Amino acid sequence: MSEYLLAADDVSFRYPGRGADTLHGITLALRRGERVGLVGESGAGKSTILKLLLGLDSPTAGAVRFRGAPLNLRDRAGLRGFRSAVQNVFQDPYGALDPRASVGRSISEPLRSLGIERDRAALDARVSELLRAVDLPADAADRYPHAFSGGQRQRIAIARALAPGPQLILADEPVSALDMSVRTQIIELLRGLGRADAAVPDDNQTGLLLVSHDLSIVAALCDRVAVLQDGRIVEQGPTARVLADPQHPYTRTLLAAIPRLPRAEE
Amino acid sequence: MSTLTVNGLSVRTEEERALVSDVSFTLPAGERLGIIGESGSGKSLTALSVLGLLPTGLRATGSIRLGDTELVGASPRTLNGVRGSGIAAVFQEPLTALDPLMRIGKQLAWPLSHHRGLRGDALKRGIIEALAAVALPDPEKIARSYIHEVSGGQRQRVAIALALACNPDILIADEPTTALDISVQAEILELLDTAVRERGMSLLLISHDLAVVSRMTEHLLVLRGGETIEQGATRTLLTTPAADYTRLLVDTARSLEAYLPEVTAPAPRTENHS
Repeated sequence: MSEYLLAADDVSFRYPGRGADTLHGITLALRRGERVGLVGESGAGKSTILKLLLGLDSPTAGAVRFRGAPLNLRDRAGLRGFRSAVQNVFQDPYGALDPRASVGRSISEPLRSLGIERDRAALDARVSELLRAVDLPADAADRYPHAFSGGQRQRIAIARALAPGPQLILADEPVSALDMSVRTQIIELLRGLGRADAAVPDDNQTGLLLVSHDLSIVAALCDRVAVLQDGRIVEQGPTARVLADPQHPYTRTLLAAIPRLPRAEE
Repeated sequence: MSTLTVNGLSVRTEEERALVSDVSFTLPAGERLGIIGESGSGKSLTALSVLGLLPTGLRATGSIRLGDTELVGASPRTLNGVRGSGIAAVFQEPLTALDPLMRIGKQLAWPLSHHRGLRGDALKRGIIEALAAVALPDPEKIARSYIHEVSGGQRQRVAIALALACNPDILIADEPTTALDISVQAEILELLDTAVRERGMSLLLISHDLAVVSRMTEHLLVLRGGETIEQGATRTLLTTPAADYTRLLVDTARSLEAYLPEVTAPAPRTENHS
């Protein structure tokens, strides 16, 4: 599995004190630059998989592999390399930013804590670059999160995730908390992820693992999709194929349940 | 059955900041109106004004009439009479309407005895029937349960049962499915649709989700920043919106939908009140 950037290899997980596993034999692998959607409803185990892929907990069985080697939570130097390569964006742009830190400070935080950059001028330059990449004005750096709308805060969170020039971003419901009219803007931003960023070479787009309950957002952003039900991946494949010709009844249920607008020409 | 008539409704803070400005609409008996808007649009404050449940510090002016009864500035006694038998509500978070310390059956007992005069065995039967009517499995067991013992979708069904128990003329549903899983959402919408149709109630459905509102209502009111952007027949607004903002909402919803494989979408409700 060495060709994969990040992979869950037959991973099971049981929370301490629970009688049953939360995840059962999950195999999910991401190549560099690949965009994969993980779809499921509440309680399916989406957040638990993310937690394991982020190295915040260890699987009960199986392994999470980063560039082919099992992720070792005790190897601090190795984890630093992992953290600069794999970043995350959360659902709630209000809770994700420290209200007492300026936007510039929040965005440069991964660079400082991972020891990538310490020079003040270089940090400022990188912050300006990142703000440009997420379409925010340069003077945003000196302001505080409360001055920004939900959509703008999510841009800030994305800029912070992009700061160390990651190869993969794990995004947990990144647009669910946003109003419809800003949702598409953030989706467009995620579509071009890393492309407008000078630190990322053009031919190396940043990969994405998008966790969502919303199939249309996954369809908009991901090449591949895995459908999660009760801690098991019930279907996995190219997004276009899975949506057009779902094999598992649960995938069909999810698709059929999406409320649609009446068609314009009717 | 009575018509709900809202005329020039404004909601202001103590500092006289307008959160809802001059909103007017009519919901004739047995019809369905959707209010669509994003955060800060004033859609929920409009619903709370109708219920006389605005948070402390907010004041409604203008007129809200249910039949011949004026609700703006009405006495708590009048409002209490209206809430329940006239108007009942279901909210996004069912836990706001439900008591965590009281068995579900007991919570249903009050409206059933108060509004329908049920007592004794008739009341017990009424409780079970009310739970069965919202398609809850094993209603006897649910009646004995506390709210934390049932799932999110079941909680919303209990909240709907509680609202319906009063036999209201008008059901106000404020983002009733937003907190629910997509497969549960479909079931709850189906339940609301059936309940409203079978009981001949009016429905005021508030949501940020255009697809949900258009599935359920024949008229739409679009709010933004407390102001009316547009109102009219749901189908007209979706196909030929007059306002740029409505067009933005429709285009956004359609652009996301375009990523999904085509399905035969159910036709929107039309104006047919037979």
